Amino acid sequence: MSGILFSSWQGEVVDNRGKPKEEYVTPKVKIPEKFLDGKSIKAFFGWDGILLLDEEVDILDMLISYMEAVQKESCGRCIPCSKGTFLVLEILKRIYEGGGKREDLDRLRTIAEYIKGSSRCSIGQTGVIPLIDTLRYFAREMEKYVLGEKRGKRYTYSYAVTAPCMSVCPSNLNIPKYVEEIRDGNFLEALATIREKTCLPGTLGRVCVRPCEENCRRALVDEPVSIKWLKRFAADYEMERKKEPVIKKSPVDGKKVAVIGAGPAGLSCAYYLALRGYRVKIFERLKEPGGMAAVGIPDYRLPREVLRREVEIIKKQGVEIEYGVTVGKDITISEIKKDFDAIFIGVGAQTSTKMGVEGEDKGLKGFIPGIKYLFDINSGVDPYPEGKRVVVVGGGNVAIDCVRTSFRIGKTDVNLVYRRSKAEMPADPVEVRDAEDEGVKFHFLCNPVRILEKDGKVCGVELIRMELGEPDESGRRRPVPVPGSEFVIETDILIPAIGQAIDLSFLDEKDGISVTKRGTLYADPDTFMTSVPGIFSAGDCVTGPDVLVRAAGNGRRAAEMIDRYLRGSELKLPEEERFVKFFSELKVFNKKERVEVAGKMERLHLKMLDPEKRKWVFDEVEEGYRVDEAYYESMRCLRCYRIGMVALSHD
Amino acid sequence: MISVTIDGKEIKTEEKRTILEVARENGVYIPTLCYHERLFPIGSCRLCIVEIEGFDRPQTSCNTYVTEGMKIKTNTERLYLMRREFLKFILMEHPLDCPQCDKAGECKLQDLVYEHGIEKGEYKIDGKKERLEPFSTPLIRKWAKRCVLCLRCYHACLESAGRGVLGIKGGGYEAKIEVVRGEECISCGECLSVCPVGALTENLSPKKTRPWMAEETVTTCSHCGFGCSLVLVSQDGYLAKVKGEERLLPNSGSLCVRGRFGYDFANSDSRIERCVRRIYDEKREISLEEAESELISRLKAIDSEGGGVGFLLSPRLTNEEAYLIAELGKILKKAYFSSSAYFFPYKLINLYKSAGIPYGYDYGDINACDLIFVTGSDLLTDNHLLGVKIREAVKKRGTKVVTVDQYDSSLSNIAHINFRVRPGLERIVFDVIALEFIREGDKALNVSNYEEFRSRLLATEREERQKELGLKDEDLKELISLVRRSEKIGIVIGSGTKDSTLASILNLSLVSGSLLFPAIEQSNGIGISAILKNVLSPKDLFKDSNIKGILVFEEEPAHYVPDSLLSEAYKSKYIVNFTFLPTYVTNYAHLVFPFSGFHEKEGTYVSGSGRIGYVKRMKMARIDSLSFLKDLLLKLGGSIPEGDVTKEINQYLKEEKKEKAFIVESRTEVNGDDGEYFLVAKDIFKSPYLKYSKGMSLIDSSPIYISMEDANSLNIRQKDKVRIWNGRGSETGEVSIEKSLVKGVILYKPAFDFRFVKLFDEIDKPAKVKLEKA
Repeated sequence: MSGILFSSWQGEVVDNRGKPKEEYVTPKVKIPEKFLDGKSIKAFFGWDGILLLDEEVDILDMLISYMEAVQKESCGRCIPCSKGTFLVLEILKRIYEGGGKREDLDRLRTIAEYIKGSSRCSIGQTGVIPLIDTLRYFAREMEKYVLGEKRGKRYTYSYAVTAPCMSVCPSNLNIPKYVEEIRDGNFLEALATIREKTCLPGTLGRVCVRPCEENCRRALVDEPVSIKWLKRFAADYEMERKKEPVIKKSPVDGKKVAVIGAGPAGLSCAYYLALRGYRVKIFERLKEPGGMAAVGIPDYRLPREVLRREVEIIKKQGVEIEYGVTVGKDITISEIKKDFDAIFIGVGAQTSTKMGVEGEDKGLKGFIPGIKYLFDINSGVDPYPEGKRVVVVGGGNVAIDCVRTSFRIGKTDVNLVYRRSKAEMPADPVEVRDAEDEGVKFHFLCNPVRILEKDGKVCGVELIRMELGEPDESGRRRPVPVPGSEFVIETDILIPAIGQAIDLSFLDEKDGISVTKRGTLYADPDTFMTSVPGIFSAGDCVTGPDVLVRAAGNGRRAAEMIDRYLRGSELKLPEEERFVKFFSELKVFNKKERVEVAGKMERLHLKMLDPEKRKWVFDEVEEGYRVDEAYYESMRCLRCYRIGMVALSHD
Repeated sequence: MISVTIDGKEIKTEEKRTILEVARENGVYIPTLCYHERLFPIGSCRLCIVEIEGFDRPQTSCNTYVTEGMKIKTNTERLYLMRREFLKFILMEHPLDCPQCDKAGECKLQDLVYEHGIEKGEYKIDGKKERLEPFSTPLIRKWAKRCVLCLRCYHACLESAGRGVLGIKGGGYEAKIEVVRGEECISCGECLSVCPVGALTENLSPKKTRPWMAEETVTTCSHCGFGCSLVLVSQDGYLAKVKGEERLLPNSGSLCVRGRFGYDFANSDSRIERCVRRIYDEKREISLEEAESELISRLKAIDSEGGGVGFLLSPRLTNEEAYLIAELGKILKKAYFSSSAYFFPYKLINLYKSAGIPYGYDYGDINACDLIFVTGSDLLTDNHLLGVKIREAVKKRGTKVVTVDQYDSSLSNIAHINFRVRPGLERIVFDVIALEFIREGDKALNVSNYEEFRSRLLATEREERQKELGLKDEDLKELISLVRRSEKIGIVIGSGTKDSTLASILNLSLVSGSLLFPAIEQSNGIGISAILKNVLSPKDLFKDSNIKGILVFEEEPAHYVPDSLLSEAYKSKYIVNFTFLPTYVTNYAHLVFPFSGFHEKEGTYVSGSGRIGYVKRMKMARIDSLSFLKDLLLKLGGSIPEGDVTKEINQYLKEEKKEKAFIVESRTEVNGDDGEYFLVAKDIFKSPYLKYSKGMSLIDSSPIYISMEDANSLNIRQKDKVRIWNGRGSETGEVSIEKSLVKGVILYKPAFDFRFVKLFDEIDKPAKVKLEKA
C-alpha cells in the first residue's frame, strides 16, 4: 500500500505528491496494486473520491472517461444528471482539445455542485465527486490543461457500476433495477431482471438471509428497503396470476452436461446452462427437487408449490431431472463421464455433525439428528409420535426450523439449547423472534453433557452452564463450561442441530477429485473447477454449510465457466466478476455516511398469521405484499448506483 | 396532526403528506414540471426542490414526507439559481418554435422559463433536426425535440391506462421516450393529456385554435354512461378539440379514445340542415313549418283512426329532450315507447326494482372494495374510465380483480383469476360466492323469501356446479380463498350479463352486502329508462301492425333490429327521423328533421352510477332541438311540463323497499334454431354518428372473432372468410382469432358492419349459429 500518491477517499485527504517514499502517509483505504489479472492499477476514480498511484496519469483524460461513463450510465430520469453531465463533458473535452477558457473551471465547479446537490440518485450525486475533487486538489494541474500546457500518460480505463446492496449480494442481483421496475408498475419486467441472476426468486424472496438489506443506505435514513419481500412480490405476482414466464434462451447446442444434486446450486447451474442451449440432466438422490430448500426448510416458511413451480420453469428450459438416483451407488462418476461432456457436483451438506456427547451413538429412541427430523416431517412422517417433549441443541436456522416444526406436528413442550447467548445465534433474528412468539423455550449459555435414557429411550438431557470467555477464530467469544453447574431437562426427543457435514462417500479414489482437509470438495474459487478438468462444483459441498443465495449464485457462475470450458475458451474470471471482487474488498457500504434524505417513510412489514393459531399448522406464516404495498416500499429505494473506474497499465 | 414551518409560516397538517401537497393546500407556490396529481411523484424535473433545516442538500418536495418540526424554505436565492440552471438544461435542445407549437399559451415550460427570467438559451445546441417519427397511434403526433423528459407520459401509460406502451431508452443526454409496446396502445390519449409541453399533440383536427382565441365549454361526454366531463374547445362554431381537465369530476382529466378523438363528426358537412320529405323515391327539402304541419296532421290522422304511434328514443338524448318527447306521447291515445336503452339499463333498473334496491353508486365506492369482479363487460370499449378507476384502486389499496366472461377483457392481465365460460354460465361463479355467505348461518336482514333462496342455492351440489362450468379445482379453491379473505366485494356488470346471472348477482349483493357497479354503455341509458318507465323491445315497435307510425329520435335501429323486419316496417309504416347526421333509417324516413348534435344540446344526462351530468351547448351552436320540441308539443295541443325532470328521475331511481326480495328466476333459454356455436354481440350500442368520425375510422377492427380451438379444428387462419348462418339468415365475413375466447363462442363486434344482426332474435341474447370456412 505504500504506492498511494494521493487519496481523497471518504473525506480523508492524503497528499504524498513531492514527498520521498519513506515519508508517505498511508490512508485508511486499501486497494490492491494489481487488478486481479496482473495489470497494475495506476489510479482509481470512484464515488467517494479519487486515488492516484502513479504521477504520470493524465488526470483530465481519466476524468473525461469517467464522465463518459457517467453519461452512459445516467438513466435519463432527471435533468441535472442527464443534461448536466453532458454539459460537463462538453466543457472538459473542449479544454482537452486546447479550447479551454478562463471561466470554464469556475463554471464546472458550479454545475458540479448543482448536479451533486439535486440529482435523483447516486449516479449523479456521486458521479461528479471525481470532478469536484480534481478541481479542488489538482487545481493547478487543471489550470495548466486550460492553458494547453499539460499532458499525461493515457492508460486503459475500465469501469463497473455497483451499489452497496449489489456489492454484497452473493448472486449479484441488479437490485436497484428491479426495485425501480416495481416502482414503475413493470412487475413482470422486474421478475425478468431478477431471473438474469437467479432462477429461484420465489424461494429467495422467502428465505434469503439478505446481506443486501444490511448494506442498504436507506437504513441510514430510517429502515432498510425490503429487498427480499419485493423480490417475493415480483415472483408471486406472476405465480398468482398463472402467467407464463417469457425467458429468452439459445437454441439447443448438442453438448450435454450432467448435474449431480437438484439443490439450489445444481438447479441454478442447470438452468443457466440450459439457457445457453446445453442439454442438461440432473441426477437427484431424493424423490423431489430442491435439496435442503425442499426437505430442510419447512412449508410454513417456503410452501412446496413455490419451489415446485420454480423447478417446473427450470425444467421447461430443457432440463431433465431423474429422481431416486444416488451417484456412487446407482451410477458412478466414471459412467457419467462417458455420456456427458462436463459434470457439475452440487451435493450440498446434508448430514448432521456430531455433538460429541455421551449416549449419542447408542441408537436411543428419541435421539433424532436435526436434518433427519426435518426430512421426515417434510415427507409427512412424524419420526417419533409418542414423544411429546422436545429439546433441540443448536443456534442456526436448522435448529429454529426444528423447534418451530415441532409444534406443528403436535409436540407441546419445545425447548432450544444453545451454548452461547442470544446475540450470537447465527440464525436469522426474525426467525428467532417468530419462534419466541410461538412459545419456544430458549435456554442460552448451556451445552449438553450426557443423554439420559430409560429402556432404550431418551428421557432427559444433562446440561452444563457456560460462560463466555476469549474470542475464537470466528471472532465470537468462546463459551467455557462452569464447573459444577450441571442440571437436567426432561425430554422425550433430543435433536442435535449444531451443523451439517458433507457426505463425499460417493467419490471413488480413481475419479481423482480432491477433497480438502476440512472435508469439503476442492474447487477453484474463481473457475469452480475441481482437480479434474471438466468436473466443476459449487455450493455447500465446496464452502461447507452456507447460505442458499451463495449456493445459487455460485451455481450460476459455475455454469458460465462450464460454458467457457465447453467452447474451448480460457477459464478466467470475467471482468464483471473481477469488479465484484474488487468492490467487495473496497467495501461499498459506508455506515457512517450522513445520507441527506429528509422525511421518514416507515418500512412496510408483511402481515403474519396469529402466533397462537399458526404454530399448529404448516400454512405460510407471512403473507406477501399487495400491489399498493409493493409500490410504496419500492419508492423508498434511493437507487444507490455508483461508478468505480480503474486506470490500468498495459503490462 | 403535526406542525411544520414553510417560509416562516407555521402550518398544521396530517402525517404522511408530502411537502408539496402541504404547500399547495396552504397557498405556498413551489414550481413543478413533472408533478401530476394523478400519478405517483416522478422526481425527474428537480424543480420542486426546497431547503430543509439540517440538510445541506436540497430536497424534492414532491416526494418528501413532512415530519414534526420540519423547517422548510421554498424560495431562496440558491434554489432560484438551481431551478434556473435546470430550465436552461432543458432548453439545450428544446426548439424555440412557440409560434407554431400547439401548446403555446398553455405550456408549462413557457410559464416556468418566463417566471425564472430566462432570456436566452445559454446552452443552446443545434443538434439534429426534428424528424417525424411514428407514434403508437396515428391520432397523436410526437415532436421528439420538444420532449423535456418529464416522464409523465411514461408513467401515465403504466399507472392510469395500465398499458405500458412507452419506455425510456438510451442513457444520459441521449435518453428518449420511445414506443416499446405499440400493440398495447388504445389511443386513450392519457399521454397526450399529461404532456406539459407540445411534445405530444393531437393529430386529428385539421383546424387548430389558440387558447386565447378559442371558447371552452364544459359538458358531459355523450358516448358511454360513465359521464366524463369534457371541455369542448371551439372557435366560430367549429369544434377544434376535446380535452379533459384534472379538476373536473368524475374522470379528473382522463378520457377514452371515443371521448377524446370521437368528436369530429360534429363538424361534418353531412349534417342535416333542412327538413326533407320523401314521397316514394323522390326527396325534397321543405321548410320547417311545412314539415311540422305535415307531421302534426299525420299524427292526428293515425290517432283518430285508432292506430298507434311508436317513439324510438336514442339513449343519448338529454333528459329534457326525452321528457318532452314523453309528453308528446301523452297527447296521443296509443303511444308506444322504445329505445336501445331497453337492452341493459332498462332491464337492470327493473331488476333492481323487483329486488327493492335503490339504483345508484358512487365512483369512490370502488376504492372501498378489496375484491372486484368484472363480468359481461369489456371495460375498454364499454366504460374505459371504470377500468381506470379500478386500476387506481389496485394501485392505491391493492384491490384484487377477477373476471368472468367469454374472453379476456382489458383488466384480465392484472386479474388473479379469469373465468372463461360459455354465455349464461357466469351465474354459477356468483352462486358459489353467495354460498360462502349463506354458510355463515345468518339470515339476511330485511330480505324476504330468504329460505326459498337459500334452499335453491344449497340444492345444487358444488361438484355439479363445478362440472357444469368446467371449473378446475384449484380455481374454485382460489376463488373461495379470495372471497373469504376479502372485506368488501364489488361487482362490475355490463350489457353482456345475461338475465339469470344478473339475478344471481343481485341476490349475492343482498346476502353479502357486495357493491354493484353497472357499466352502462350509453350516456343517458339510465335517464331515458327512468323517464319512460315502460320501455318496449325495439323489435316489437317495428313488428306491431297496430303501430302505424314511428318517430325515430337519433337512433339507428339497424344496429340491433334485423333488417328484414325493418324493411317491412319501412314499407308499411310512416317513418319520421329526427337526426343530426344521416344514418341508414334516414334514407327510408318519410320526414326528416334536423336535430341537435351533442355539442348543441343543453340539458342533463344520468350516468350509469346515477349521477347527474350537465350537457352544455357550445357557442355558435346551430340547432336547438329543445325549443323545437317545445314548439311541436304546443302545436299538438300539449303543455310544457312544469316538473324538474332530474328530481323526478332521482326519486324514481332511489325508490327503495323496506323489505327487499331475492330474485328467484328460471334460467334463460337461448332461443332459436339448433346450431353449434353461440354468437355473442358486443359493443353494439355506440353512437351511430361515429362512422363519420375520421378518428374512429383510423382504428378499425374486423367484426368476427373465433377461438383458437375452433380455428384449429376448422383449419381457419387469421383473415380467412367464414360463413355464419342459422334459420334467420346467413352472412360471410372476415375472421380474426381471439386467443382467450372460450371454445364454441363467436364474438361479433361490429365496427359499422351490421349484416350479422339478423341472425339474432334479441341482440342481447346469444344466437345459436353454424360456422364454416367460406
